[in-house]
Amino acid sequence: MKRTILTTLAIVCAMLMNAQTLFEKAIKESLTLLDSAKTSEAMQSVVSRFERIAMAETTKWEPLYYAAFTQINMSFRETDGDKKDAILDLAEKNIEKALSINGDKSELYALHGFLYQGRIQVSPMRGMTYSQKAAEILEKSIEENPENPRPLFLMAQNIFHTPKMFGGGSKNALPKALEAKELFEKEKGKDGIGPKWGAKSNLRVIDACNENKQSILI
Amino acid sequence: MFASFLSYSQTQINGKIADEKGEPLVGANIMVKGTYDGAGTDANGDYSFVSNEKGKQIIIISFVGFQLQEKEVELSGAKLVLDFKLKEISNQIADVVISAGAFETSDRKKSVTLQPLDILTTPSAAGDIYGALATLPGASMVGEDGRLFVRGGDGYESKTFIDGLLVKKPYSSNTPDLPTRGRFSPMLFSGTTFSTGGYSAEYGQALSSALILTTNAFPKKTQTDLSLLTVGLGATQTYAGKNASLSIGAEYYNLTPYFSVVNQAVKWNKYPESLGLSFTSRIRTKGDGVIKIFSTYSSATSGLRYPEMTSPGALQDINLSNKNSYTNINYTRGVSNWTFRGGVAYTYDENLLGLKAFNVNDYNTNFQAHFSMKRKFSDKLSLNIGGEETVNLFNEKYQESSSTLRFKGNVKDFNSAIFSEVEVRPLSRLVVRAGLRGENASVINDGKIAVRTSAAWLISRDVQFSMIYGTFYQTPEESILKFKPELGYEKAEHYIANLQYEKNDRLLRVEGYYKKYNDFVAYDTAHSFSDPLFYNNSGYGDSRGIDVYYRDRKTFKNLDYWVSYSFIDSKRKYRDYPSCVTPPFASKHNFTVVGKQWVQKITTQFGATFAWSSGRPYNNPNSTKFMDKITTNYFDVSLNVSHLCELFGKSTILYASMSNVFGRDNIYGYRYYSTPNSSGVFESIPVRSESKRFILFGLFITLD
Repeated sequence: MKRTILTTLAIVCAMLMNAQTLFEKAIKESLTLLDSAKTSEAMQSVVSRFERIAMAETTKWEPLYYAAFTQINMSFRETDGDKKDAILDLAEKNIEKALSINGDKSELYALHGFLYQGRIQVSPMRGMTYSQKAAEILEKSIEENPENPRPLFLMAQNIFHTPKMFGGGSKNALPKALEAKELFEKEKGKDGIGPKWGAKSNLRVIDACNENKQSILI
Repeated sequence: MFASFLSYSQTQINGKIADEKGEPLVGANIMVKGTYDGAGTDANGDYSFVSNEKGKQIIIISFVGFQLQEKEVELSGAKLVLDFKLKEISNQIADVVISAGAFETSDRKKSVTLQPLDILTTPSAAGDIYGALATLPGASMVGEDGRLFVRGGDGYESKTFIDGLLVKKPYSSNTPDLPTRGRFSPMLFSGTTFSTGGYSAEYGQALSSALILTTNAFPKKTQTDLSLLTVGLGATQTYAGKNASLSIGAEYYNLTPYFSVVNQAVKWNKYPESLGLSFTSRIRTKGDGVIKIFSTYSSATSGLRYPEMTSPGALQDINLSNKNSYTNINYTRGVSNWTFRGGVAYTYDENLLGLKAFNVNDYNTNFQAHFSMKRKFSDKLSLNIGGEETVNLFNEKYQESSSTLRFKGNVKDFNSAIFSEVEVRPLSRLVVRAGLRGENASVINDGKIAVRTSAAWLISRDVQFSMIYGTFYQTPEESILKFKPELGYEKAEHYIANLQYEKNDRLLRVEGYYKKYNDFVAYDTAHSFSDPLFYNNSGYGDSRGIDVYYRDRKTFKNLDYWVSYSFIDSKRKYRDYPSCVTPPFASKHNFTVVGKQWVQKITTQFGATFAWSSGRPYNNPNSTKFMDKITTNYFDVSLNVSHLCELFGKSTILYASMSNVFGRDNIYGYRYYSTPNSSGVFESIPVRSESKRFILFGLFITLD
């Protein structure tokens, strides 16, 4: 009897582990596809992949997170303002859904901050409102997890693109980017399927700050 | 053999996914339930994938905005071709909001909004909020006044609110025939809602229009802002902490240097001079609550030689001294499912006006407490309830210089109001809002219930139709109540229909309205204006018209422009009018174009305003008919340029603007002398701007 229970347990464990690795494998495969996606169509098919995984794994926030992440990146490629907004609307829904199933708050808030930066791309006139919104939600993201490098990096990017007279500029952005760099280095060895992006872009922000460049969006 | 085994165990599935009309859906998802096997559709709506699953399986097809579809299939290795048509979920297009009546700030519908920068860079506005709003349809340009005149309504019929609270004296104090400006800088606000009619039950005491301003959230960082203008200078120091912030500002304006160089039509005794102080603070409290404190103090003086209006040639001195303070404290926080907002506002205004024949000193204290509670019960139902108490104390001292005649006017009013507003979405494309506002003014000693209803119907993704009906009550102004407190409310009813088309950063709005006025205060001029016996609520009037607004920030790269046209047909019998006529502030046709071109290469923005309106009525006492004359058309072209650069390593804006570039002699109306000349004719003087053109240079520096 004992044996049967143990065997059953072992089988269940194996099945769970198998399911776990299948899930992780599916995420990792999709992330590889994302890395090589060069067109909007390719990116859309990655979004579809993540959304399929999300539908099969209704308790996992990561596929929704990555679907939204891919959509935000897609919106940067799009040139039509209405279409940009439409894609970001879908990304926003995925983020909300991920939050509703108790996804990682710090990561999801940071992603939402990234999304707000995408909204600014639609019209520079939105700069004021959305950089403010981004700043607020990124603050919340840091509060949830001060070790998360992504909100700091996004904040640095936000400040970098804000005109000096509204508190932006390279001088103000650099300290945040350097802080983010340290945290990115700590994160390097980490395993798993959690978010790990941003280190390279952060280095680009640091370089741009050091060259004292500024791209002003009014 | 192996290959055939494989082909037996794998099933290939392909097909097309479309909407009900057969239009292909791009990016729709199809999958075998419980597995990762599936695909997304391509640009033609086609999909194709293989599955290792066998036997009876469920296929799921999903696409955002469409109903999920499931279908049972048998996977046997034989190739399957499955086409699907998905049904749209109507509540996905629940973006419908009531668009009639207001030009509103919202996150998404940016095109209707005037952002602080839009206001600062509108050439004809010269940095004034009200000047910028005058470029929107529904608002008339009244050059010698400067206040908002909305849809044939008088200036007093529009009220301004900051963070939900009344601003009793939103305009700077002015001498006759010279335009007033808003007291507050547009940079203090992150949002403006300019209602040209049919506004929410949360606000009251304005017959025509409500301007609702929202102050900025937390400042981002500690910095110093300096401004240097040809007419004055200013400095603001901001400290930004994690949970609190503080801003202190001072500004000083003196028109002496400018007016001594540029010729003025007006003879100044004392060039306008003013000092302003401001204090702003934000505090974050527990449970994501926020306290906002906003306080200003200003003092202004000016003096000029103005025609005595008794007989031609005679001039008299007019001296004006004004002190004003305004404090607004606001607290917002979410408590379980409710959003609570409460606040108090305090205005003190002291206006001393000295003329040759008499002095008038006005003292006005106004206090308001306001709270509201909002709750969203579901996607289909939300509620907003609240109340308000306003205390208004007005004191006037009038003294004639050549006699001992004195007059003391006193008005004391306690106004209590409660409101509730329900928003229902019975269908996803339809939203209906119904509100009631109960008000009681102690000075009138009578209560009224105002009804506010509106509905919006989303006809298609880009086209929306809205309708509004509302009743509005306003207590007569202190200038009337001081003579006769026993008067009733003035009343207006608004009927509004609006059609809005928005696509691709282009927006077209057409709005028709009918506004009916009743119970205007009227008095008989055959008797002294200060005789209370002849005051009553017998006035009436109406306004009807069409407002057209087009804004486009898409067609031309980096060019943002808007075109406004309004047609106003308005008549009224009120105050001392002997008959029902079109008032002087309602010109029939108003046409405005504002354009702003940003040139990235030289980080410079060029702006232009073109404004034209048809003539305004005026009364000529030599004519037997009342108010039957019309002035010539008004026409103005204003230009400005703002250049962003670095000066001594600090970010700087250089600004220059010029109004009335072509130097047109715009005449706003005529003032007639009170006594006729020797041949029995009343002579007149035209009312004009104080100078043909106004030129302004400015330098704004940020230190951090």
